Amino acid sequence: MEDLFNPSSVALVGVRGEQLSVGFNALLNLVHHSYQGRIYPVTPRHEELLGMPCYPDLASLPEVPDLVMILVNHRRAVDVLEACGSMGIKNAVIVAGGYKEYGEGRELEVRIKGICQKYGIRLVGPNTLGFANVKGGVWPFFWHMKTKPGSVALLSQSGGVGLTVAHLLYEEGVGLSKWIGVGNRTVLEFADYMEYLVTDHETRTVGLFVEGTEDGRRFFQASRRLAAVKPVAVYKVGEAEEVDRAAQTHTGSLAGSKSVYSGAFRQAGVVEASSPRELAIALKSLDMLPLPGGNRLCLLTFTAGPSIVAMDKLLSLGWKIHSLSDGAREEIYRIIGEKTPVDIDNPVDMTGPGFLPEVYAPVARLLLKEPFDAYLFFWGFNPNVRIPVEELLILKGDTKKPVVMVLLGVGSREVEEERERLQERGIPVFSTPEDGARALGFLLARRRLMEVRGWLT
Amino acid sequence: MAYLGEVEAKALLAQEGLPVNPTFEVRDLDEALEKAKFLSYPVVLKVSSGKIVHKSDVGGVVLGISSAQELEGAFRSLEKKMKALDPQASFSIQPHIYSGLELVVGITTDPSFGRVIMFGLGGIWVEVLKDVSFRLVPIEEKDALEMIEGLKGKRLLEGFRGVPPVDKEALARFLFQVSSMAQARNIGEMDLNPVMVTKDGPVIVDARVVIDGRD
Repeated sequence: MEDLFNPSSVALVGVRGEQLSVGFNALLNLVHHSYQGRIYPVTPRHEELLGMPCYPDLASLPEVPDLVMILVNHRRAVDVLEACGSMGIKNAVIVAGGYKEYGEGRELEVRIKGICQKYGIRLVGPNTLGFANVKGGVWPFFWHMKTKPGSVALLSQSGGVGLTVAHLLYEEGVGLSKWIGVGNRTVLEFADYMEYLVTDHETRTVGLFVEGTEDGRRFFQASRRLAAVKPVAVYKVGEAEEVDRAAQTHTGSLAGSKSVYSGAFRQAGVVEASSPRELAIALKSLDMLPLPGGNRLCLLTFTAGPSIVAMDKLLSLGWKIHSLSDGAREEIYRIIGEKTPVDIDNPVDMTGPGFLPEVYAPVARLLLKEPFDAYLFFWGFNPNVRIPVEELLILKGDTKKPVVMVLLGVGSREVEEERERLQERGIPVFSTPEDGARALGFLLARRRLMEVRGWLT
Repeated sequence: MAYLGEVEAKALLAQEGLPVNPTFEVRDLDEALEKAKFLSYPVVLKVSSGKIVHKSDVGGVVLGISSAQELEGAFRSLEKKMKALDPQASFSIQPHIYSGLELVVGITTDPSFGRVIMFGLGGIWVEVLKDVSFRLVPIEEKDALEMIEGLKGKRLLEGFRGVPPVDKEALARFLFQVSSMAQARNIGEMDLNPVMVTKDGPVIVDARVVIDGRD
């Protein structure tokens, strides 16, 4: 599938000059994202587009392109696909919808499948925005998506949900390796993409948005193989959906499709999120953090409330919040001042003195040496007080334990630079205590799934 | 496709080495009395009919019958009620098992994933609490353990109000066995409900099975 994602030439069939047309936007995306290969706009309507010569049909192209993006309507797309096949083109995207999801289109989709089988064409879609090899700068993709190169691959059965998750990740400072709108999955299924991602060096973490798949067994096998080597998180929609069939047994009547999917995900070692937002948090956490050695967590703050909010969630997600050792407690009093009127325990609430970087950092250093498996650090933003980024980065360099940061009371844009520096070095930054807690929840969930499967080394 | 009621289903399960509560089909009172004497009291009397799938919903189960006299009364009244629903109805006798904990184990065929196994808290509350989870068949013992650990009502298995703690390893082996036999015997649908936890391990107290004719 390498030449699908990294083609040396792309033809756009049915591209038009109108600014709001699907084809023109696909062309713009290829150009704007600095595609390095050769681009062939195929249309009899124009002599040239964006300074590039147009070709009236596929037959007049100077070479057989690696990839064809088919932008014509759902009926004509079938004929174009046949022409692609007979020319020896091996990779295609069909953008149009109106196939199995729409009465008469069913038969067209059967033909598409037949053509692809006959010629060995790898087809993305139909009924898709396309895909974006963000890391490689290849965007056969006709919509707008704000993202940056990163190491998360996103596979989505819905363009809209896929864009939502991509955007949430962008807001969280997380970039993508690939974004793939799997569409109707007529030829390339979730399983095919997942098999490819097992060895895709650009991808460290994989996110899925799933509505449903017909071949659950193959999905299961592929996701398990992938999850064995890379973290995989999924959001499966359809909480309320129940299987509609005459149930001869109680078991049959209880087997809603969602609960069967959930079981399959666990068995495959795949972490399950329950909303697009949760999926984004899970992906950020799994992409940036090392796995914890166990479930002992330490919280550090100088404002009690947020740590209590996080604690509620963390305890229900399986984290243990043990007391500090007497030695550590004494040491902390020495740092924050013996007379500070506070009982030091876990969460470690330093109160007032804690907002000085010269107090915060030594306490953090001390705690990192204590027997905990992971850390949640809170910082309340104040423009007059420097966030101890430098100190935290040095500390992070000395530990293999996961550290999550919650920056309270500030929009991420105001602290863009600090956040970027922390995140680049593997300290994910969140803006609410519950997001920080959830991130740690997904991390522990991943560890447990790996433990059960025997994947921890 | 073949549907097996309680007596036949238990025979199949016993053949596969699964622990079932021994159950005898009885046609009349004399047979019932004879089997009850053989099994020793207390016993449970149930209707046995292909037309009555949810036996307790129609009052087709009499629990804790402790003497021949009680059995006689129970049999006559049950016979009258059940023959009205199904003139062909027959009956079954089995020992009454006391247990503080009822579990449910099942098999069903999902349209996308194929054969799956279900495990959870059982008895009459199963449809209300829905404290169950699913896995694809075949499972490994570690999947079974995870299903046990994943119960919302897990505390009930860990020694609760005088109910002794459940041997989770033994229960996991039981689930693994059910998954393996479902695969080997081509079972499309199955309810083991309840499975009662006793000091000797899990025992299947009621069962029905649908054997798949398709694959």
